[in-house]
Amino acid sequence: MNLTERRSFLKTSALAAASAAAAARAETPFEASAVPDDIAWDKAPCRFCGTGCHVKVGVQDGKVVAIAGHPEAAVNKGLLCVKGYHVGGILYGKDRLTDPMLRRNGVLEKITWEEAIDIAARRIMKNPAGFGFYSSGQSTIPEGYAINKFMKGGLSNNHTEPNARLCMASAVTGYISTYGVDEPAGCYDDFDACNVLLMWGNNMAEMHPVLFSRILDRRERGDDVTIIDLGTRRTRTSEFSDHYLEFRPQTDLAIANCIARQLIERGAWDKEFVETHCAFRADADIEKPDLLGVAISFDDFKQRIAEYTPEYVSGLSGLSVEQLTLLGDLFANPDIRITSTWCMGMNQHTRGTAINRLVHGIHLLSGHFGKPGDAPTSLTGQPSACGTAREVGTLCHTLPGGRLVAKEEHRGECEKHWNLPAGRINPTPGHHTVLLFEKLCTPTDKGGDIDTIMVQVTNPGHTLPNLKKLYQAKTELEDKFLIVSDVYPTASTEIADLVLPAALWVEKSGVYGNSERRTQQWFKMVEPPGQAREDLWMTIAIARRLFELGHSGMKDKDGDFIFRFTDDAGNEVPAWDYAHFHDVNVDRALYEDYRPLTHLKHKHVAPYDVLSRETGMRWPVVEQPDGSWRETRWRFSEFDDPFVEKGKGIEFYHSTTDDGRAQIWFCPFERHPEEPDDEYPFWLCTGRVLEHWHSGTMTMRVPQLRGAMPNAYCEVHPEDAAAVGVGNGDEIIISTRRGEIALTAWLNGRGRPPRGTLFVPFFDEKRLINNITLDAYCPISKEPDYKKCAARLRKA
Amino acid sequence: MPVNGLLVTLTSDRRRAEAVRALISSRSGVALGPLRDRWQPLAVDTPDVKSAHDFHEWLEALPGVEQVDVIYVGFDQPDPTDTAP
Repeated sequence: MNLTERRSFLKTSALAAASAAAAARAETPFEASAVPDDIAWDKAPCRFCGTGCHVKVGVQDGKVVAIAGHPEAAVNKGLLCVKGYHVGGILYGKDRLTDPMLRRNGVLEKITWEEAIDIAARRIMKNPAGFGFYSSGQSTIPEGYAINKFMKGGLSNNHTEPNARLCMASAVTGYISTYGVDEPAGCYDDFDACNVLLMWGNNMAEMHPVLFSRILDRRERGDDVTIIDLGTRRTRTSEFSDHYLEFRPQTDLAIANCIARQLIERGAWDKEFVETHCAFRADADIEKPDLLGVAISFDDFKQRIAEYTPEYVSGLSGLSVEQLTLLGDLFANPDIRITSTWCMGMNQHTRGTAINRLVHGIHLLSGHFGKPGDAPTSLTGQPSACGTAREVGTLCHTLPGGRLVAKEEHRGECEKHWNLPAGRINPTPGHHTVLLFEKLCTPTDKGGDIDTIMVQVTNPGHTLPNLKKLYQAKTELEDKFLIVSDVYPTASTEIADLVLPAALWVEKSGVYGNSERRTQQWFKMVEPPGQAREDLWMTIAIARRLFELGHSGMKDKDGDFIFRFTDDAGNEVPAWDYAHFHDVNVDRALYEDYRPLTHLKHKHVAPYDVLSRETGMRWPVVEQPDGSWRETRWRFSEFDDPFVEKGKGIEFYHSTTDDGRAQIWFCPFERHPEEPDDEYPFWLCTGRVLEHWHSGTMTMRVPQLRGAMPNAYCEVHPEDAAAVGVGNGDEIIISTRRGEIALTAWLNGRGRPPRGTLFVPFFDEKRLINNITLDAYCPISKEPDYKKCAARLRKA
Repeated sequence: MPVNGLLVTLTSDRRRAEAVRALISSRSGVALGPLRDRWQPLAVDTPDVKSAHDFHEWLEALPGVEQVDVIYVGFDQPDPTDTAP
């Protein structure tokens, strides 16, 4: 095919994709035969955020050449955001890691895979209890499952954490302490049915743009939908909203209590719903809060929230009494449907669990729950924070399917399922993320009991808070060892001792789980570059090397290797040998091994072969008498959830009180541990931007995205800038108690913080804002607060 | 040399929508697909990334165009302006 023919072909292909999207939007049939077939097309979830858009990936001559939104995908209906339609470009940055490398005398030198796996295994063998495995909400379900089995079932070591601790842990504790089980009851269909979309510190227009466009599309069609942005800084979301309610950081706690107080004061709470389905709860000791708290009476609840009058909360939050009354009016109205969404604004919070509980609570108290459009729904930032970190359970206290390492019964179930000797799994939770890295960065003789960490599919050298303390301090400790698997050089590989080149996205097969309980599968489509290999293979290969070195934990009860795969004839396939890794579908084998473990908490995920034909299915997925598989859109509601007992209407069947009730919590407003003062008079908030995803490892390799947003900056209110003699584009210095950073000031830019607030995006590895962020965290979820710390500003 | 597939949401005013369709189709490098209700699919072939961005902005600014979504991006041709990150 010559160049002219090729251009013509690509153009036909592009037109066919756009035509398919138009047909989907107009809800009219599309003739797929119009799509040219010279490119091999397959499906995959987008690699970036937790929305779970499905893309069509076009491959030609072993290379991804085109990306199109999948017109049949229920999530995105053919649409993608600016990152999504450039997702193919993430594979082809010029500086892909292609060889394993070992640091010798401060320099990374190429080594073989055999050497790399041996070094990693011997390091673990030397001190298995001092090893930590840090993975990700971008790890696939089979990758996470293998890590869990390797660490908890093999090494008897619970020091495994996903980076989801940094983004979703507060949502998890919020769901569990309210409903007794993690993850949302509602789904994206609520966006099509709600009358009010209330976003709590959630810049959906930039962070989950495809979901936001779904709402905007409804409004354009003339639907009755009111959009409310409850935020601490004016963003693109605010510009599209009917109401922008700007509150002072941390006072969301008081605002939620004020809504609850108004409901009770007006007698507008849903008495029947609450009396039938709910109970009240509070922390036994506010100084030492825990996950489950203690029961309180309705009268006690009423008394505790009594002080949160609109007038009092107006003084705290900066919202007017009228704005607070508006929120009260909405929740008091039983004739409308309200969907609340949130993401990092509520989760990265020193009282993250509390604010999650309170938002669930006002939905329950008002009865805005369990009907299409009436739902409190957290959105995830990563493509499989739900599927892998939360469902597979790669957190330091969890086991697959919602089980806990601390529960003997749960350990026993996993030991039996994995054919391990009883007592193999350690009952003590491991170190949570902040503690894990703090222990790595602490001298061994001073309590630093972690000497080796393996990192996969994430970039802690960029994304941990207070990086000098929690990451960079490792360089001073010669006996500590860091293994980092990644696709590009990053702030993490910069100080790693062993660097492993990884396959990325469609260079491997995978399964993800998105924000709305949707499990999505894809097959490997292209080869990774050079010697880059699958993270899943690395885990299995290291486990096998430990087996060969004589680690007893790598054997099951029968003496077999814990990762035993067989072909159709029942013969063992040596998947640890990369030459044989693809002889069987290891992803499928691990996923199908994991699937029965999801039944305990009624999170029945769909079979692998069913998922391979779909653009995802929302669990619980239950087989029907005709052999088909039915997904569930609304959990706990009899009309849709097959596990609700007939006649109950609503049933919280994993209630923490074992009586089918959800908990409405009282959590008081508490001040932030580092509020602005005379020395550091500003709030510093960090976050993402539309063009870049997380630490920019992938998006900064896409020229179009890098060109559109090449550097981090600091949003400053014009009056604050003027006070220190700073104009738009001037160099400034932002300082906190942990250090300082030079940035460019942006006044009246994309985001507009109020006076006294600064905003800095965190994607830029040359301007690491996390060098100066705060490592204080929620006492229950252990999730750090990246959204608030005290800072000062000066001209450079 | 990007080839992009775009989905243009047109105004519900049919006369204005027809006028803007004619205007879009007159641009070089543009191929229109069949109009579906208010949604106009098109493919555009531009010489470089900047021209693609300029075209996108031109589209968004047209009276009668309510929204422009990018549906397809072909990126097998290396961008000569690309530099190391």
